Amino acid sequence: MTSPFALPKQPPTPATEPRLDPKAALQTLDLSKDYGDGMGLVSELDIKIGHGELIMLVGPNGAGKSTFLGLASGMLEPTNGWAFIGGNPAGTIEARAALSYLPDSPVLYDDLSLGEHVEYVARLHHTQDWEEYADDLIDMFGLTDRIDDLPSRFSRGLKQKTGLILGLIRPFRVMLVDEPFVGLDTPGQETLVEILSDVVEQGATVVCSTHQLDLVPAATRCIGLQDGALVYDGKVTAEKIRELVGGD
Amino acid sequence: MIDVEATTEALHDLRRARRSNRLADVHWIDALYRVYMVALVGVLLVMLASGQLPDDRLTNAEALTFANEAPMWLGLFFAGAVGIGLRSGGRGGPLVLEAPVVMHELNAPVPRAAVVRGPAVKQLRFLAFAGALVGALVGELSARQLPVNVVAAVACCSLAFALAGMLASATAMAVSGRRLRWWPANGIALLLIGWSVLDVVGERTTSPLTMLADIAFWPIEFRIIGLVGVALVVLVVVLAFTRLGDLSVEHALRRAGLVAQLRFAVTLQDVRTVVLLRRQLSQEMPRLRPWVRIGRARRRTFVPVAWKRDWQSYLRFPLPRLVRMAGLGIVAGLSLGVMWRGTIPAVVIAGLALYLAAYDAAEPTAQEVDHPTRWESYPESPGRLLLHHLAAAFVVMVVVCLFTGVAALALVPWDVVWKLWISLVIPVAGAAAVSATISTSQGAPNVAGLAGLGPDIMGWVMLARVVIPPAITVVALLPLLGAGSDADQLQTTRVGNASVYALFLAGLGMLYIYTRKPKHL
Repeated sequence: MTSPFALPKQPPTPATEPRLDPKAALQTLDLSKDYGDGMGLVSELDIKIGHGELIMLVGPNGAGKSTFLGLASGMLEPTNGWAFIGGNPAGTIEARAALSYLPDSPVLYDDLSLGEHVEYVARLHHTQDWEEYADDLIDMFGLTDRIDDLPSRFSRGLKQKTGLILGLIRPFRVMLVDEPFVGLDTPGQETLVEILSDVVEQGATVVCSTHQLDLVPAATRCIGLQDGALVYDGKVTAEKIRELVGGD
Repeated sequence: MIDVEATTEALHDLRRARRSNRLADVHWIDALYRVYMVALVGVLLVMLASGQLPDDRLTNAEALTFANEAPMWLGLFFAGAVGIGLRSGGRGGPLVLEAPVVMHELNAPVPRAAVVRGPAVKQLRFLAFAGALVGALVGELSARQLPVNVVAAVACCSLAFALAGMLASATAMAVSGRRLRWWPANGIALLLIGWSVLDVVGERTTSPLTMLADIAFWPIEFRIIGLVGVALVVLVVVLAFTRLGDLSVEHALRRAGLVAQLRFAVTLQDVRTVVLLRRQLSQEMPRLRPWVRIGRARRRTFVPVAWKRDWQSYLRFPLPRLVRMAGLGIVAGLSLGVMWRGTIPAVVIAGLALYLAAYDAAEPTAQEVDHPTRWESYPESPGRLLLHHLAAAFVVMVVVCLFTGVAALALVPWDVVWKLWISLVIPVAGAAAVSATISTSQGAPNVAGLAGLGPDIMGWVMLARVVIPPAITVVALLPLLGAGSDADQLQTTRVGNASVYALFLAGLGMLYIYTRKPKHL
């Protein structure tokens, strides 16, 4: 009989769980998610990611990439196992402070302008001197003229750019990005590759679910998922990505 | 080190900015017009309700008897409200946060309780206010019948209903903050309701909700036991706020998305989408294994294919849906009982309850409407196929009407119930099935097409789409008014004759259904 309460169990510590490395940027231990209907399954994933890595998370549709990112961000609750950000259980205040998560479709307020969104998220995350950086980011994505417009009325691509700006304006040590290239025009895609490379150069870790081959030169590692299981963890090459996406 | 104070400050600043942006969008004339319309409807309702009350005033002795018996019934009503709260809490409710609030604020390094506290207080305040308003109305109306001071009656009823509203909401928050799963939450709800039923049957005051209800009767007789109800509300509110931030983010995000779509569907008066989204919100899915499996026919069969498909659908109905349908049948029966005792408008509640139950019975039809490509691929007239689905829906509604008949026995003699049930079950079950099928098969309104007719015509068409289907069910119940109020001289012939008009109306509805065609988005 299952417990009447769905509260998470006490998280393990390095003392109780020797596999746990508090220095890892992101670590999962026996991480599983089962919706009960066979959808979005992720089973017993043990993955450790260090600082300054740019990981390409690849796999065919339904492989569990979005579920993995949702679990690592603390937005989804695991059926079993744990995810840690910098040694802190996902979803805790410390993990939230260190993590920037961009879901596949940008989530934006209906009643805040682009500028107000940026200010809100920056201040909510204690970004120091965010104003100049915000202007730079907005300029890089070509949205300077739209700063006072409501992003909720933007096109899909412009919403995606807004979501990326909001993910980048705040300090973070780990960034989880789900299909960030979808909807972006070519200059937007180039800008994103450039920014993600910069971010990694500065020591942050980026886990990016994408099949975009433009990111291959900047990526340091590739993680392949299929049917919720880890099928590849190693060097990133265009051929390997094609193979993993094809599901062969 | 995380500076929680500064982030909370940022949270408050931006909430102020959003409020001012929203206020800037408000058109004051529109807002005043809405207030005027709500006030007008409120006044009309009070006048209608007061007109239904008998003119006799109770004596002091009768009032005392009333004060000894009625709190149990009111306690049962409050138990129902708390039960709804428990059910909502077990599914991650009652708070509905916007998706960006979940994504940006609950994910920010700020205590989650600080994010959720504002919406929680707002909801408690709203339910307390709404409860007080309903309580004031009940108090004012009851003061006309009871030998009590009107101010005291209004004040005490307001207090009792406001506390009940707060209790229902706080219970849900306490449950979701503790991540209680849906099944123990529903179990506790059933226990509470059962406890209140025992109080009603035994005419005792043992349930804390009966004690809470006792406050409404203080103007007749002050009993200190009512304070237990107050203490319960305070305790549950404290419990709710101590774990407010422990809510499930996963549930919050799911609810945020669904409720946004639900509001949009309500705006468009797309009833089918509302039903679907509400089911998703309460995680009401068809059973993976049917209650009874209907196997494949081994040889040539004369069972119509739609009939079999419909029962395969009903046999996958989850338990909560079956319980809801039975519950709606019971509500209809009790309302008809109240109508028999003289409160004529209760027939509308009975009609609406049967109409809602029929919405579930029309599920197989809804599946055709939801999948227009498949629907139009069948080598049969689309409207005729929908009529085939009506047969099973009608049988299901006959079963629901059985619950209606049994529930009516609580207020109406057996002799009256069975005679009227026999006379009316076919037209009422048929009309309910037809009305729900009409509403389902008309699909979402073609707003662009209607706009071409001009705003006045469009308004009337939109109104007709919403009002006509349930009105058919209500009209089918109206022959009951011809039965008279004397159990010894029941006018069953008159009821039977009048029911022919209901059958005629259902027939017209079937003609309309026959004209339906698949709509593609």
